[in-house]
Amino acid sequence: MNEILYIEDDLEIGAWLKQELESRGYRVIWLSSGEGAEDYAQAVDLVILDVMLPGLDGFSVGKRLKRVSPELPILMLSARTAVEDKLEGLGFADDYVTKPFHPDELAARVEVLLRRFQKHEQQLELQHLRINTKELRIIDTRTEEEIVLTGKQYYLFQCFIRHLNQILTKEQLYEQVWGESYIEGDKTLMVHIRYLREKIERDPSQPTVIETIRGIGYRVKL
Amino acid sequence: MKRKLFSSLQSKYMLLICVALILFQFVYLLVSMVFSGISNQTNRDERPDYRKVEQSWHQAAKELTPDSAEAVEQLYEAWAKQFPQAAMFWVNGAGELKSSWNVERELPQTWTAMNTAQYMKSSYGNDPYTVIAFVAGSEQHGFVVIELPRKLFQSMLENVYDRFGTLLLGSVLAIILLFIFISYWFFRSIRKRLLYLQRAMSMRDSDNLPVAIHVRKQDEIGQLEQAFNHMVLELKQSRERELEEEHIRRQLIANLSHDIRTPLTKLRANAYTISKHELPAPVATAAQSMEGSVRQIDELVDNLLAYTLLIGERYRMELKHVAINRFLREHLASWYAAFEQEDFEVEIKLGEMKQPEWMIDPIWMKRILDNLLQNVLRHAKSGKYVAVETTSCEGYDVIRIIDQGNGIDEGKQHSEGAGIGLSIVDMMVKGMGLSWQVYRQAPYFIIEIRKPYQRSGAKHPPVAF
Repeated sequence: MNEILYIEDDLEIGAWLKQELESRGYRVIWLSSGEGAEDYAQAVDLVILDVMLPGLDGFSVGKRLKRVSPELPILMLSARTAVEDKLEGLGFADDYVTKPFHPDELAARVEVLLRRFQKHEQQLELQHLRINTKELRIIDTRTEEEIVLTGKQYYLFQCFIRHLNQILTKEQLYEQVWGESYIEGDKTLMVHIRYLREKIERDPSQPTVIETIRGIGYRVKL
Repeated sequence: MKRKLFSSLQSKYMLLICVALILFQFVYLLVSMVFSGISNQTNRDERPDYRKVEQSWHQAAKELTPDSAEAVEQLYEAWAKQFPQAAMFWVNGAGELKSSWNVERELPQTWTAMNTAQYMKSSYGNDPYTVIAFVAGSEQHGFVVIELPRKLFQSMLENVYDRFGTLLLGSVLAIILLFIFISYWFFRSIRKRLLYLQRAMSMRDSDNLPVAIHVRKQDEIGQLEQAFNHMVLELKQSRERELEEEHIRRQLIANLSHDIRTPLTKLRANAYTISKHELPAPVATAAQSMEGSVRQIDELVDNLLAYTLLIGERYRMELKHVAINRFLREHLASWYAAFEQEDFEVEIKLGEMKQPEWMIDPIWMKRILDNLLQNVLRHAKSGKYVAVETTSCEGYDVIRIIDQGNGIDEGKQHSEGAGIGLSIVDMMVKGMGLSWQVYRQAPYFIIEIRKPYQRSGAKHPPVAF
């Protein structure tokens, strides 16, 4: 069970969201100010942080937490929607959600962060695949055999797993996997995705694990 | 401000002119004084006169005793006293050179008609001045000749001019040249400082304001520099005030946004909590409607605040080169799920454009697209279709957002009736030097954002915000 540190000074919103997150299976520590937040930095998997807090504001608290524990994902949850606030928040935080928010959206973003920072459950069931997200071992549940990927296929699949349900453009994928700028017309990515599909899809000609979103990119949907 | 007497350029220039005038006058005065003094001096002297010398010599020769060497010798001595540089000789009636005085050249011993005529011809009008007179008034007794250097007959002024004329002319010329040089040096230093001032005025600081100048002198240019520095200071203060105002305004808007959104969050939380329970149909619909309204108010508040900033020209715009297809692809990726949820058919066709990079503010462009796509989602739900495409047309590149809904009232797209979201689109599109068009091509409703082709080297058009 993942543990979330939630810092919110509004009692009504705080109580509601704590309950909502707990109902989704998270353990929640709720603080009404940033005071003492650093004490929890090593113990929790994620921080949800409001900006306007009594005493130290959310930006300062977040920066301190990142200093103490750089691998701790921080999600800013604020009613401040100005671009400047978002830019300041995203200067250190990993996501910025504005109020009023839908709890489903917040939960989805929490999940993305937990996966990205590998704080999540290690096992993931994706159609006929069982994936150990920590070691990125893929088992075909139909045969219980491990699917072995090459270096680039491994990075490519890891990229999809870290951004589950998100559409990744070909530029984003190429730059994350190859570490170089994408040149328009380059077929390398397509070729690697085809090879990856041949290994993980039931029917590579009609892929269901790695979806092609025409004109935009690719998505792996849980 | 009290300044030193010669600290102003005007005083310096006047001083220069006055000194020049005085110097010229002084030179003229000096020359006049010297020449008038010499002239007076000459008048007092008994300068020999050609006519008198000639008459006297003729008279003295006439009074000589014929063939008397002693008388001639006395004549020599008498004239030598008066004119020490004088050369004299005597030729008797037989044409023999009998005696000479102070003659340095060789004279013929015998004087014939020929060499006498030759001598007279060579002496006529030349230096020395020569007078020939017959002894005792008759050619039978021979003649006496006196030769006097012509300078004996010149005035002192002429002599001085001969000796010092070049020096005098050189001095006057030197003074004129000195005046020209000082004038040139004076104006050159002014020009240099004006050019420095011009360069300094066109320099910009990191905040794009002019930089203060180091004031070196307290003259008119120095005053101009001081005035410029004062202006820079006022500009900086004004910019600081502007930034402070902007900060306060943003803070106010941020706080206002926070104060509105916090109760909205509570409202949404409550609506969500209610909707989670088993409810009779009308209550469930009411809860759903409440959630929808909260979402709409949220968007409205967001647009209202953005509109306020745009109207007040306070919405920051930072233009940069953006690869437009890549930008659209990334942005549409975030919208895809929303359309998918509403069962829209999404078609993305990002083609090649003549200008693959647009000079835009990505935040502004995101807002434009958000508003337009939000509009599609809200008002073209029935069509269940959205397409985004890019292409090049005659004279411009274009982004097209196509749906099959009812569309915006074409006549009101730029003004009041189309809603605050579209007013923001209008202002932002124009602010970035783009244009937009809305039209219907049954069954499609099309919105185009156009970027006209730019001539190579042409600057980005001026922006409104």
